[in-house]
Amino acid sequence: MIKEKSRITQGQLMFLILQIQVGVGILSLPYRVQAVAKGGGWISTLIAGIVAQVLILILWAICRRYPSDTLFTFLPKIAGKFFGKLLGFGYIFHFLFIAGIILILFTDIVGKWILMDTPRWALLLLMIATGVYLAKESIRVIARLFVSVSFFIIVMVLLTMAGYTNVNFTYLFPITEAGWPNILKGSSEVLISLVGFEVLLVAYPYVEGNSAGKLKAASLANMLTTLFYAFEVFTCLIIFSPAEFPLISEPLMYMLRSFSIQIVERIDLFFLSIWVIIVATSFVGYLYLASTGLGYFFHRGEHKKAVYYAAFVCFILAMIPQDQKTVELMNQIATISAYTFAAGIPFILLVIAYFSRKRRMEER
Amino acid sequence: MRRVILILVSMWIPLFLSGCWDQDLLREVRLGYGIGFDLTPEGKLFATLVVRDVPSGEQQKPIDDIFSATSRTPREARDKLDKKLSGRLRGYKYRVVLISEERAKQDIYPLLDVFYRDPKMPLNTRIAVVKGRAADVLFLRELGGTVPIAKGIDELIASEEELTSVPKINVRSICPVMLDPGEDFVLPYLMKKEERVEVIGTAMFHQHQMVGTLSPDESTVYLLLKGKKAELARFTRKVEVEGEREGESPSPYDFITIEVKKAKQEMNVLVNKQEKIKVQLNATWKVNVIEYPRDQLDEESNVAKLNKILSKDLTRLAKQTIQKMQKARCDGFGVGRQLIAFHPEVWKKKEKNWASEYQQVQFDTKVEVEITQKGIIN
Repeated sequence: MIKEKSRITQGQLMFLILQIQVGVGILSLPYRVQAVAKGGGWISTLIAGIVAQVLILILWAICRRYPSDTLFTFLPKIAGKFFGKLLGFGYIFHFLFIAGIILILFTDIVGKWILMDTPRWALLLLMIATGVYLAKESIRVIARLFVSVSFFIIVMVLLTMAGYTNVNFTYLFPITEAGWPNILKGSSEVLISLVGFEVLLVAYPYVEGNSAGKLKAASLANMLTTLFYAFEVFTCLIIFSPAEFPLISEPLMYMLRSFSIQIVERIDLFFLSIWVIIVATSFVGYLYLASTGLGYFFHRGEHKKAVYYAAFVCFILAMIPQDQKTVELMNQIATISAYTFAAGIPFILLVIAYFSRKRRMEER
Repeated sequence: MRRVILILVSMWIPLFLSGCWDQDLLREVRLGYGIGFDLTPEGKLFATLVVRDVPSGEQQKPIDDIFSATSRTPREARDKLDKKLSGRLRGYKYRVVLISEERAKQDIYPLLDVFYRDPKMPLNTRIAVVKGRAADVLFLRELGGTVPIAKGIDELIASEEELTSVPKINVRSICPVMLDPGEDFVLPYLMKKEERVEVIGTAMFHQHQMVGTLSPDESTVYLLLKGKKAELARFTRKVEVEGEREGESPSPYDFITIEVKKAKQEMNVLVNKQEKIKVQLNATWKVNVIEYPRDQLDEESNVAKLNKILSKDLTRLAKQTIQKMQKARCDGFGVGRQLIAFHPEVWKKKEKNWASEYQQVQFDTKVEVEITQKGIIN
């Protein structure tokens, strides 16, 4: 059973998922969506939110069957001992890889926007040191911190509103210019930024209350993230003309660059500092997930010991790409990995679990 | 004990971390405040830079240091200018970019690319076109004997923005419009007059190039019709009420100064079956009379008469402005944008030679003026 001390409330679960979902992708999201879906980008975002909701339902349906098991303990129960372990390692690699990608994109953007001359390893060390410090704590401590920094998402929304001083709604039209197939394709671009709900697989048993409440918390988190993304995409779509979009790969930052208020001349730098916190929470989330897995396999469930070398692996991963091409490649691998481990495998697991229970019932 | 030592040590670490690589101390750099672009007779770029010098003494006022260089591109110009400067040149603080008319008639995007590309460059820099040479304006050094030139021009444009005689724009906000095929923009148009700088209207652009100018009144009408009214918008118009004296020079009694309080406008882009484009532009302005020596504004009939005369007069001015814009191919109202958004099939056909198609667009303009306030006397 889960110790009383490491339990979290449903509200905390919501913020946990929210903070892991909202992450490094937010800055370039409008650009990526617009490239495919044009003026219908905000619809793509909403569609992606619905898809993510379905995926959450699947994850929840699995977890509900094993209310006191985390991902790593119920995998062998569903898939058998060998495959269960294999899948467990698969998930650990997935978590580590996503954590690594977060670091790569983080250093990329910070290196491009503010700290041009700072070497990569310095940026990485700063982020990883913070990450390790938090990820070695219990899920309750992590969740509490996530709740308190969620306030920054509101600040981000407020800062984005500065953009509304100069907008042109006709940039949105014709909404279906790209056609519905492309709008759907655009939503796959968004979906990758919505991953993070996999945390449910590990966090589920730690949460107090009944399963319906947990589903509600997870869904609410997903809804908030989707709305936040849709708002940001929408804002960018009415600020940048369609011809300008292909030039600007971080539209949100770019938009804020041109505004100044009395005290802060460069709002974008202010925004970036907040964004760093948002990125750190996602990184911590994945680092925690990976080290929980490693802890389960190697340290009798103590994830604390695994955090250090898990972070080291992330560091190595983030040091690999030296050019844009490698980053792109790794990004693609991450996308595939996300689809496999957040959508594909859970679905298969659910089907297996469903049929095996049916068979058991029949045998009886 | 171990913990205490750890905390003490870690408290000192940040001291060694503060911006080791990216530090950029203000005392080691020189800040550019304004830059002007001219064209040399050989077709090269002639850039003039204003650098702010803040003397170390507290009481002394800052002085602008101004010098020029010839180059092929703006960035090369900056590097050449940097060579003439003690300390490294930084662009964080640019207040104005001035482009000479001659240069503006060529593609201006290359001049601004570095602003868009370099994350350290400011994007809220004001931009204007200068009649004559931009260098001449900048070499005035000071405006009115006290204000350093770059700051002075920045403030000058800002105050004109308040009067709705130039658009509220900066380097950043023209970018989406400049790149959009369906809309064009206008920039403030300056001129050096004696030892002062004056805003003499706006410069119209088509795509990336300057194509013509609008007078101050035309600019205000354009901005009002576009729905970009700022704090104030004033016109002084001649109203010849009955009993006008033929052949005499106009007396101040023949004029009225109005201030547009509320401007409402509606633009409809209609496309008929033959794919002819018609634009309906209707505006209603509620105005405040701020100067009218003839008085007698308490009589309904007088006010009604004035309303009628002003409506007619300003409708004529609006038509004249739009004609001028059409002739210059400046699609300032974004007719093309409306087509892209709401008539995409039509746009696809007209896209190729939109400039000439735009000139054939039929504008149906009407301005309705209504006097609602008249100050504290009749």
